[in-house]
This record gives sequence, structure tokens and C-alpha cells, in this order.
Amino acid sequence: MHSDAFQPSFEGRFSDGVSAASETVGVRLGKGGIEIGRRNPDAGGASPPAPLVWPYGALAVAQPLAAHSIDVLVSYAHQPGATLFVPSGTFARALAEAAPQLTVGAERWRHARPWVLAAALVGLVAALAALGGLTPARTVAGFLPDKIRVKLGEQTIAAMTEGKAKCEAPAGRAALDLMTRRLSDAAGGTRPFDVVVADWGLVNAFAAPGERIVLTRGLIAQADSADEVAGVLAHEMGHGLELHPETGFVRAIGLAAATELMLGGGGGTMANVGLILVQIAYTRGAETEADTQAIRIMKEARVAPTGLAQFFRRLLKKEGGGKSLKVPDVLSTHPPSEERARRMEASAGYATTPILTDQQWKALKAICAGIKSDPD
Amino acid sequence: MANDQPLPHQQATGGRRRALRLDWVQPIGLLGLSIANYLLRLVTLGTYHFWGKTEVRRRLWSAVRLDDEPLEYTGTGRELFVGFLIVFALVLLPILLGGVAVAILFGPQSPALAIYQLLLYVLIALLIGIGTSRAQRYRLSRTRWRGIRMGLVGSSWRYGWTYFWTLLVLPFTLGWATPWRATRLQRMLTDDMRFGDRPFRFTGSSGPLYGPFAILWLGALVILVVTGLVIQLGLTNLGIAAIAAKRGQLDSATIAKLIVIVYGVLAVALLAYSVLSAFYRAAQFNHFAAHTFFEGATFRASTTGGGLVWIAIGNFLIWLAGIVAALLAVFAVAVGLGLALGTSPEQTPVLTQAFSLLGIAVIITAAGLLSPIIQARTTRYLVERMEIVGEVPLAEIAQGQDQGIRRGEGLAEAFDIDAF
Repeated sequence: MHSDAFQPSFEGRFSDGVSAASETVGVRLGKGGIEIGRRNPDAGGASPPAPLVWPYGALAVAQPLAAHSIDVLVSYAHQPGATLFVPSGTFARALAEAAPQLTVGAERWRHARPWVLAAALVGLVAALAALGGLTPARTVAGFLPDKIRVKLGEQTIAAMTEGKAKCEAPAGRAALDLMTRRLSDAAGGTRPFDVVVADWGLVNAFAAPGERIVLTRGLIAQADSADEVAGVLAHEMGHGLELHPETGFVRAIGLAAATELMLGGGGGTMANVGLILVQIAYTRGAETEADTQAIRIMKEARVAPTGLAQFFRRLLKKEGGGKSLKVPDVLSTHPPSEERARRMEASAGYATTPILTDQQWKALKAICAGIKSDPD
Repeated sequence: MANDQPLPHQQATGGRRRALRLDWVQPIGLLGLSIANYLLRLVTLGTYHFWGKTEVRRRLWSAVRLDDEPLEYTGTGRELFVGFLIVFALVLLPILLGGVAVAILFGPQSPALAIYQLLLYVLIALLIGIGTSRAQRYRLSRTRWRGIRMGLVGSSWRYGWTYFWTLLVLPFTLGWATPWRATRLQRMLTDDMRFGDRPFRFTGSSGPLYGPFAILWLGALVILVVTGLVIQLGLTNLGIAAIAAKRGQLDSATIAKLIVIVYGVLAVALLAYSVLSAFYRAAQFNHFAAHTFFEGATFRASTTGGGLVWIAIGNFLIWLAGIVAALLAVFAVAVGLGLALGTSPEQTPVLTQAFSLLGIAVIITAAGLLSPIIQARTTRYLVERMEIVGEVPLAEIAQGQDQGIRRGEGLAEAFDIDAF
């Protein structure tokens, strides 16, 4: 009796990886590995050599083993190029038991696990950053040299006011400069602010990178007093001091890069829709920060904060609760405008002087005079 | 040692020349694979894409049988991932940042940006050829049968350059260079192809393709003219109606009609062109197969235009089903979540925001949900419509020296060159 007599239980085809020939072999699942009964062609079949043994730990399969497998193509790390094909579902299931690392579930989890952990880590860091008030885009924006911020501001203003004339009536311009200088000095940023009025019927104001601000003709027309315009201007300066426009820009580039990375390059236009939506979701804390700055600037400049509050209230009423798409930036609904108006009023109580004389205010109101405006 | 029992079923079968049979064994569980890949992609922020793609290829390659033994795909997700990261860092990111820099320096409306974009198109046209060749090289070097590797020798740059300059020729010939160009590129790829140490050979010329191409070209012309006329007619009629009714003021109903007419006609035209071009593509595929030789054997393909149209229609419906299923799943989860928490969106803005982000991610990626099934259908059609004619001396074919490229097809991935 010979206990090591080879009793194959399956039939397979074996290729040695040297030529494209293959031979039929007997196969058995042994204790330590797959046993392959080969006949050495040189030996002429008289005395078959001991079977090849491929240890389970060093095996690879052409496709992961599943319950519905009907055959298996196995290769072995230490015999490169050699393959064994066993067309048997029973063999596949038996092999799955002997070498569980080759099953579909094990392979998928082995490949996905590091990335699931990485994704969880990214989520955790993002959540912590959000809770801790850290925004990487803001940090990067802080490192942008003035030269780039100024250039960026010029391009942003050019893009925003494309097709709109600049309002430059001399008396109105002088009044605006007076107002801007007083607030800009109080703001105390590294550079003075540069404000232009665009001949545009829309009621709005924008802060652009590089200490640039655009007011619209519609906004000035809508305001009841110079203090209201000053309040809006202080709010936009607040955005500028906090580098919100620069941050938005950095964030947009970062998100574009991240999306391209995540979608494997083929994202295209669909991804841009997502990007815009994501950006809208970001502007929450920024308004509060800009308001805080605005309160400080107005106090420093001795301008009444009630002007901005009045402006909020009147526009809110006009827009019917402030949920329409035309809501200007100063009125964006996070945090609620009513709360913001009350915050402005609560900060009052210091001695104030009007920002412009009546005459200067009239001149500012007429800053777009002489331009043949579109009806918008 | 004694072996008194002879081993059963032992016989060597490689020594002589023999004909090879090509078959397709339909893989089981592709739907489960599609869903698993999709979910893993979501929870890994997209990174699993490369591993999912690799598993799909392993299944598809295994489904192709030569003489009842499967092809083997030995590529890894890591190779594809690293390949893509390199292309991202060296190509995609510089393109993105370069565009931003030009826009900042010269302004979004400046001619500099237009020049940059033009240069970008030229660069991309160059890179597509290189990417196609490199992707082909990667895939072939990761394809084995009986342990013998396939391969692609030759220079990807040379192929990329030919791809590029023959592309420039197309407009000057009103498209008539298409069969010539396709044949030239096919010859380059085929002659560089290897199985083990043996080359493939391409003997085709573009001449026989000009008959089918003339039909396609004239058909396309007819489609173009008819489309133009119908749109013109529709616009004029509506315009007259609008002028009569409202003195030139178009109301929203008329505009809606206009949009329906224009897009409807364009969709029909596109469909007609796709059907027409399927017949040319079938002719080209069969022609190329018939003129591809390997060691005295050649290929006989019998794809038909109708067959390709049928596959395309089926694939479109499956693609649509995937998107609809993903949308329904998002909707069901949203409703379920709302019911479970018993709150309206206004009360939990953070949750709503997180969920809408997830929803966007699901919708953006849903297009690829059932792509394994789509790829299997297409491959199956081509394999079942192809046979190998002639005999191959298998035992004489030895392993090739070429190891292929180390990293996976980043360029092809970046420009979405094909679905596999």
C-alpha cells in the first residue's frame, strides 16, 4: 500500500507558460495545495513523476470564485506563465473553501477596504474642519499674492459687468469716493477698496477679489438714504476683508480638480451642475462674517448701522419674504434677514454722522445720469 | 516509490498544427457585479472605479474561449489607478490650471483664451492617438491564453502622430479619407500585435471599403439636407403664425413648439445616421478581420448593420434602465429617510444638504451603472460573429520577451476613449 498514490478527482488542462500547447492532467485538492498529476513527456509515461503541488496561499484565479462559477483558471505565483484550467463548478466551490481569499467577497473587500477607510477619513476630516470653522480654500486664498488677487478682481468685474456701462458722472463719482474712502479707512485692510457703479437695473452688490466692489444702479435707486448704501458697501467690504471672493475662486478650482479626479476624468458637464450646487451650499457662514465686519466698519466710521437694517427690511417686504431668485447678495437667506436686521439695530448706540450731505446723496443718486440705460 | 496506477486522461495536444474554435460562455451574475461595483464606487468616493473595471474585464476576458480554454486578464486595479493619477498630475491638472492662469492674466473674453483652447484641442487630438495605442498595449500585455501573453510593440508616439495628421486630412477630403485613414491605423496596430513571440499581419487595403462608405456618405448628405429643410420649414411656418398672431412676438407655447421641432428633428437625424453608419462599421469590422492573419490562420467575421443596430438599441435601453433604477433608489431612500426622521427638509438643513450631495453623486455616476452588462452584450455579439479559419502551430509559439507597459491606460481613461 502506498499512501501517496495520486488519485485525481478532477480533470483539467495544464499549460507550462513556455509554449501555447496544453495537456490534459489529473487534479486533486490536497492538504496544502492543488496537486496536478502531470506526465513528463520525456519520461514516456512509463513512470509518472510525483504531482506538482501549488500551495493555496500563492494562487491566483482569472476571475474571482463565486457560487455560480462553472470553471476555474488558476495560476501560481512561483511558476509564472503556467496555468491550470479546470472546467468544473464542483472544483471551483471546493477551491473556494480551501483558498477563501480567492472568493468574490474576499477579493472585493481586499481591494475596496483601503479606499473605504480613506473615504471615511476624508469625511471625518471634512466634518472636523467644518465644525472647527477651518476652510482649506480660505487658507489657500490667504496665500494668494496681491498681484494675482488684483488681476483676478479685474477679470471678475469685467465678466460680471460685461455689456454694462460704468456710471461715472463726476459729482456722483466724487460723492462715492468720499463714502468709499471713509469706510475703507475704517475697514483698515491692506489696500483701499475700489468701488464702481454698473449701469444695471438689478438691485445688487458684489465683492470681487482684490478689494473690488460693484454696486448696481438699481441698488442706489432702491436706497432711501446714503447711509443705506454705506451699509451695503460696508457689508461687501466685510466680504472682501474676509477674502470670501478669493476663497470662492480657490474652492471652485479645487472642486473642479476633485471632481475630475473622482469621476475618472469623464465627468464633463454633469459634474459642473454638481459643482454649482455645492458652491451654493457653502455661502452660509460667510454672510455672518461679512455682517460682523460691516458692524465694526460702520462703528469705526461712525456711520449709523440702522441704514443697512432699513435696507434689509424694505427689500424683504418688496421681495415677499426674500425667497425669490432675485435676492441680492446682501439679503441671502442664511442667516434669516430679520435676525440680521435686528443684529444691526442692536449694534447702534454710538455717535454717528451722516455719510453724505443731502447734496452729495443727490449727486450719487444721479451717478448714472447721461447714460442711455437699457430697460433690463 | 511505486505508481501502479497510471494517471488517467493524459495526452499532449500541442504538437501539431490545428484549427482553433472561438466561443463565448455567457458570464453569470453581471447584474450583481454592476450593483456591487456601483455601491463600492460610491462609498470609496469614486476610487473603486479602477478595481471595479478590472473585475469586469476579468469576467469578460474569461467568457471568451479559444478551444474551450478561457482568455485571462491579468491587469490590476492598482495599475489603472496609478496610470490615471499620473495622467491627472501631468496632463489634466496642468490643462485646468493653465486655463485658469490664462483667464486670470488675459481675461475670460480675451483672444488668448481662445488660442489656449485651440491649442488644447490640438493637444487632445494628439493625446487621443497616443492614449489609444497605449491602452491597447496595456490591455494586450495583460491578456493571456494558456499563459502566453499578447502584446503590442512599436511606438505609441508614431501611432499618435499618424492618428493626428490623418485627422487633419479628413476635412479637406470632405470625409472621404475615412476608410483610408481607418485602414492605415488598423494596419499599424495589427502589425505591431503579438501573441507570444509571433506577430499578427494585416493585409487589407481600403479599396473594398469605399462602396459601403459611398452609401454612408451619400446617405449622410441626404439626412443633412432633409434635416435642414424640415427645420427651415418648421421655423418658417411657426414664424409666420407668430407674426400673424402677435406681430413677431413669440409666446412661450410657440417657443416650446420650436424646441420640440428642432430637437425632435435632430434626434431623428442622429438616429438615422447611427443606423446608416452601423452598416459601414459592420463592413469595416468584417473587412479588417478577414485581412488579419496569425501564423497562417485568419479571422472570418459576419457582423451585420442590423445586428449592430440591434445591439445599440438594446444597450441604450439597458443604460436608460440603469439611470431610472438609480433615480428611483435615491427617491425611495429620500422618502424613507423623511418618514424615519419624521421631519421636513427645512428642519434638518445639514441632513438635506448632505443628502442632496449624495443624490447628485448618484445621478452623475448612474450612467455607468449597468455598463458591465452593456459591454458583455457587445463583446458577445462580436465574438459569436467571429471564427478563426486555418491552423496554428501552438507548440511552436513561445512566450514573448515584451513585458508590456507597467501602468494602465491613464490617457485613454482621461479622455474616455472607449468603454472597456
